[in-house]
Amino acid sequence: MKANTPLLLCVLGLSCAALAQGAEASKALPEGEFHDPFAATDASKPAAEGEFHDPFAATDAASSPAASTERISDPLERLNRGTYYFNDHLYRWVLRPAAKGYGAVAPKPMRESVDRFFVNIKYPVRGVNNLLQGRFSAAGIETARFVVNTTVGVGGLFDPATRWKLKAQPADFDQTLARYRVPTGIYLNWPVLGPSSLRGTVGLAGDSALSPTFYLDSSWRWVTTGATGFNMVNTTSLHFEEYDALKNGTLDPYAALRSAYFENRKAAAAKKE
Amino acid sequence: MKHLLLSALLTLSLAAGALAQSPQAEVKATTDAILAQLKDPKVQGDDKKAERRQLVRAAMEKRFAWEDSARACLGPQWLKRTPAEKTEFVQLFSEFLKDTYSEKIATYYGDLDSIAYRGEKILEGDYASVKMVLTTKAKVDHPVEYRMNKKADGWKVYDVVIEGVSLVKNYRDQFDAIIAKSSYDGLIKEIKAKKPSSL
Repeated sequence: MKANTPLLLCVLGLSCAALAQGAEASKALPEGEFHDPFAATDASKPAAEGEFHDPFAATDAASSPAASTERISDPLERLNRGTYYFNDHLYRWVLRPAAKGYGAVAPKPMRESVDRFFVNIKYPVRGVNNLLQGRFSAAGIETARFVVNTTVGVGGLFDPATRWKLKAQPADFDQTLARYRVPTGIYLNWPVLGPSSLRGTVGLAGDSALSPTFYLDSSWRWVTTGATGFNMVNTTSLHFEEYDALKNGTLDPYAALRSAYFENRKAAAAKKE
Repeated sequence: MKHLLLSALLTLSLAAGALAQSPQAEVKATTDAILAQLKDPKVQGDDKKAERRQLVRAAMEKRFAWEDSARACLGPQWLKRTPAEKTEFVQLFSEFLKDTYSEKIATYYGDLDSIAYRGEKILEGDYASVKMVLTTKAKVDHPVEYRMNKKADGWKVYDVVIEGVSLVKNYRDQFDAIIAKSSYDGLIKEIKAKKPSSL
C-alpha cells in the first residue's frame, strides 16, 4: 500500500502542473484550442438575426461555477481520436463479447447485485467529496446508505436504503475541483478509461486514492486488477445496448462523446442540492 | 345552423383551452398518452416493434418543432443556406431524429418505472423548460428537461436535455466537427448515409 502513495503524489503533482500549464496555454494560444470556424457559440453574445435564439443556453452558461464561457479545448484531437478508435475496437472485440457471454450465464439480478456491491464499496469517494463540497447532509445520507446497505443489504449486494428514502448522493473529485473553480483543461481520451480531461484525470487519481481496493497490499494486486476487469465486464453486461444506441444516434461519435462529456461534467458541477 | 355555430364555438374554446394549457401539462398529457399506447397488449413483443415505433414517430411528429431544432443545431451555418437547402436539412434531420429516438423508446419503454414532474419555467413569454426525473425499474434516476417553443397550436419541443447533455448542443458540436473537417455537403452526405433502421 505504502508504495502507492508516492506514485499517487507524483501523478497528482504532474497533473496539477499540466493543468496549470494547460490553463495558461489556452489563454496564450487560442489557435491550439478546438477550432470552431463558425464561432458565435458564446452564449452571452446575442444570436445573429435569423439564427435560432435560445434563452436557456445563456442560463446554462451562467449556472456553471467554473469559467462560464469555457469552451471545449482539444489540441490532442488526433491522438484522442486514435484512442477512440482503439477503445471502440476494444469494446467491440473484447469487452462486448465477454459481457455477452457472461450475461448469458449469469442472471440479471445477480449482475445487478455485483454492480451494487462495487458501487457500495466506493462509499469513501462519495462521502469525502460531498464533505469537500460542503454538502454535509448529502455526506450524511451517503454514510447512512453505506451502513444500511452493508448490513441489511448483505455487504452491498442489495439497496434497501433507496427504499427507505435514502437516495444516492453521487459526488466525485472532478466535481469537487470544478466547484473550487479549477478549469476543465484540455480533453483527454484515455485508453480503456475513455473520455476525460486534465481536471478529470486528477479527479480519477483522487477518487482511486479513496477507493478501498487502492490500499490493499501489493501482493493483492492481481485481485484488485481482476476485480476491476470483472467490474467492467459486469457493468458492460448491464449497459451494452446503450453504447450501441449511442453510436447509432450519432454522426461523429467521437465529437458526440466529447461534447457529452463536457456538458455532463458542467451539469455535475452546477448541480444544486 | 345553430348546431354548426355551437360546434364552431366549442372547437374554438377547445383550441383556446389547448393554448392556455401549461407547458408541463402538455408534456404530461403527451407522455401519458404515448405510454398508454405503448403498453397496449396489441403492440407487445419483438415482432410488434415496428408498430410501436410508428406510435412514437406520430407523437414526435405532433410535439416537436423540427425547424427550430434544426436551426439551433446548425447555428450560424443556417444563415448561409438557401431556402431549398434549409427545407432539405429540416427534412433529413427530423427523419434522422425520429428514426433514432423511435427505435430507442420502442425498445426501452418497458424499463421505465415512473416519471416525477419537477415544474416548469417560462422565459421571454414563449420559451418554456419542463423538468422531470425518469426512474427506471432498477431504481436509477435520470433527470430530463424539455425545452419548448410556443406555437399557434401549443408548445413544441426543440431540445431535450438528458443528464445535463443537450441534444441540440450535442448535434451542434458534431455538425461543427464534421463541417470543419469536410463541408456542409459532407454533413448532408453523412446524414443521408445514416439510414440505420427503416420501418
